[in-house]
Amino acid sequence: MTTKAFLLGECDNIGALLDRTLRFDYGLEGSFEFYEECSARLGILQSELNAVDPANLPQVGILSRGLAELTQLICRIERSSIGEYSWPFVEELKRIAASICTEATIDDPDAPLKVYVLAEGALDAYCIYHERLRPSYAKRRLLTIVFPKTLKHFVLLHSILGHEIGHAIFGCTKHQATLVKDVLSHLTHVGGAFETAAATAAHIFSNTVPPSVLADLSSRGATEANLFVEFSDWSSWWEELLCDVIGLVSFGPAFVAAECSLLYSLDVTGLGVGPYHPLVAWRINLLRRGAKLLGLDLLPENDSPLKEAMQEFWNYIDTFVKNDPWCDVLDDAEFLAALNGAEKLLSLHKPAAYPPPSFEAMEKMLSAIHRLVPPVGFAVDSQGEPHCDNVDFRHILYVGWIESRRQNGSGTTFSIVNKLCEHAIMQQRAISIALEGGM
Amino acid sequence: MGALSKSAFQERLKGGSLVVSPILSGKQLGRSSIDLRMGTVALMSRAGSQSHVDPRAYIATPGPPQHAKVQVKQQKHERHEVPYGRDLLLHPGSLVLVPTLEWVQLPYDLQGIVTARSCWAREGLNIATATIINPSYRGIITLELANFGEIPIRLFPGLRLAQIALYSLDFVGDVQPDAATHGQFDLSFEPAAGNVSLGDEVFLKLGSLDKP
Amino acid sequence: MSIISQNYVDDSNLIAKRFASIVATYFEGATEVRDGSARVPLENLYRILEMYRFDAYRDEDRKGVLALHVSESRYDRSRNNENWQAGIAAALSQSLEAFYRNVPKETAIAELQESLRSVARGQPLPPDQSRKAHGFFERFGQLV
Repeated sequence: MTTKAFLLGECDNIGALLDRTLRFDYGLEGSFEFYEECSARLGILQSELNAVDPANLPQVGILSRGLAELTQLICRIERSSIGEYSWPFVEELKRIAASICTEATIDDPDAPLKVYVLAEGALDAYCIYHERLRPSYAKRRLLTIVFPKTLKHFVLLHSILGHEIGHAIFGCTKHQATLVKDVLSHLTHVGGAFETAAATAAHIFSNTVPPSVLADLSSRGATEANLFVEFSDWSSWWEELLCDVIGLVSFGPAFVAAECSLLYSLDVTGLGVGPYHPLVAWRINLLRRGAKLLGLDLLPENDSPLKEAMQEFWNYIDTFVKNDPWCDVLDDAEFLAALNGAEKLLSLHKPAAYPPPSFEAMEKMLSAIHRLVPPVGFAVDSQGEPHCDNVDFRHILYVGWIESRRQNGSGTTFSIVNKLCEHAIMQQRAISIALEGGM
Repeated sequence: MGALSKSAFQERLKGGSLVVSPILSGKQLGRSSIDLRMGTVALMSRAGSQSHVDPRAYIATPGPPQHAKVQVKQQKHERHEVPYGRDLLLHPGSLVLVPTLEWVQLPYDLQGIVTARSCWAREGLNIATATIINPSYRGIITLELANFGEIPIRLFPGLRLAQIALYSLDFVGDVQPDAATHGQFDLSFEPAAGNVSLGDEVFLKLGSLDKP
Repeated sequence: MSIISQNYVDDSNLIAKRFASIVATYFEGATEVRDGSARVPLENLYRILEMYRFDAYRDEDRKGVLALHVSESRYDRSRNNENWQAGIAAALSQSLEAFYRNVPKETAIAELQESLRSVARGQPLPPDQSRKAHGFFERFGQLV
């Protein structure tokens, strides 16, 4: 049996697999679109295999790899049927993704990427992965959102997906060009630590480097000359910074808190020099500064429980900031310009940009969650009549974080606060439906 | 003990001692009850390999939980997410547990009784038992929906399926308002199977092989 | 442990080449674009033209969900794919020069994408536009 014949048999197997799996109603939006897309991919692979000369080994190899990838994809989409993720949060995330993660196709200049969701992996499993732009056997690209399996209801931590949305946005061709011009150019500005790989390496190995960092790098044989050749990918580093910027302008304070909690739980010193991400300490310091530059940490003018609780929250965030100037890698003016550039792009694609909250609404929501009531835009007026208001889910998350950090909080667990916020996001969707429907 | 009229429960809602959140429309406020909407999760009973409900299986035993017991309990219901706009088909004779959309908190001196709204009852939909919501309860209310009709019923999250009437309690002597006790379903975010043996273990262990 | 370990190979050039030759046949009217799979080459070339339009080629290079990776602890130099597009971009430039000389880049790309759209929808094209598009994709397929 030739390789070609064997692979043609595998095409039949994949077709049967598709029928056994994606014909079912998986996911909350069904699976027909994924079935259609995978069928199209299988179809082109099969027709190419039929046409290929068995002696054309490079081409046969490409088709073999294409079949393997397709099979993995089908299995992954099938696994999304298990669910085990927070669908209220996913619905909101998809709304953001649909507004900005789009691609130009033959039929639609702004076609949203098709999304499927998985729950698997550990704390570091958060990911939004967009299929590659370069030529492949895909008709339409898919977006995969991954949540850690253990964190189903932990919507406060899910805020970290603002960073991952950044990767997806950067993977949209027209937005990539804008982000390079309006954001990256400032992150990599002339004279800054990220101007070039050499500049970043020079900063790392400067005479103010923390001894533990130097010791770690030396133990691995890393030097200023070979750091971004043998050990780390500089372009990944700046892309990760760019995605942190997008996370901040898309998810606001909740993003900052989520990054602090998750990143420092995975790298407890914050000073690890990894292959694809800049140091955690640099990132957190930047995010805290960014929150200040954007006014995200503004407090209400008058004294109130909200003001006191918000102050406590930002004091908590400040405990993650390292006072070592070596950890501050960007100039304020350029960083603010980068933030403004990102905000400008996201503002054009509602609801991608984080909207400023109303302190009045926040006060009511904080009071609710303090009493263990899901914080939504709902109140009973002085006449005893119910009133509903639209509230952005990211404000629910912000309130959740504030309550979770309060000294005189409700005393409940972080898990319950997360569940209350998740429940609130679900209820708030009902409020939006009711308001849109004129109820 | 008396049933609260609309003005009475509106006072309580205003003051915050009674919470029903969110109330999407003023039309939910009846003369002596508040309509409740279906939430977005459904637990359907699943026969599986169980031949009968055995209260003895719920008795807590010393040491780590027995795997088989926990497995049976967890697999008794099939859990479905039912997002807005999607439906749940309730077949004749079926029982499904759904949460209310509303989060409810009762003060220590009120009790709630949940029944089906009569328009749905006429279609065959029933809250299987008249559910009593205890004072100081906090959480969603579980609606045990049964279809007594001849044909399946399509249900959607957001539909007003039930109503809660509120009753004030009579007390003898002083009662400390903050001495609240919370039952086994306190802070429920979705329906869950209960423990039918709780408090009755002595009767279940009579003549059984499971000695106390 | 898997039964085999393979080096990463970037197939994009060869796939682009193959798709370009397929699409050229669409313009000859030799193949009908009926089903979803026949659209795959068209959509891919449409995407390539978009990337060329915006000069935006940075691509997802994380091993990502499909590869079931855990925290990446080592730098994999083979993943460095900053220049994956070099051959494709060069071939696009030369093909544009050959068939759309003196036409602004934006206009030429818009016309080519419109041609792909017409083929996908089975709509007739003006003969000159069809000839140029056919020539472009045929040349591109030869050069990449």
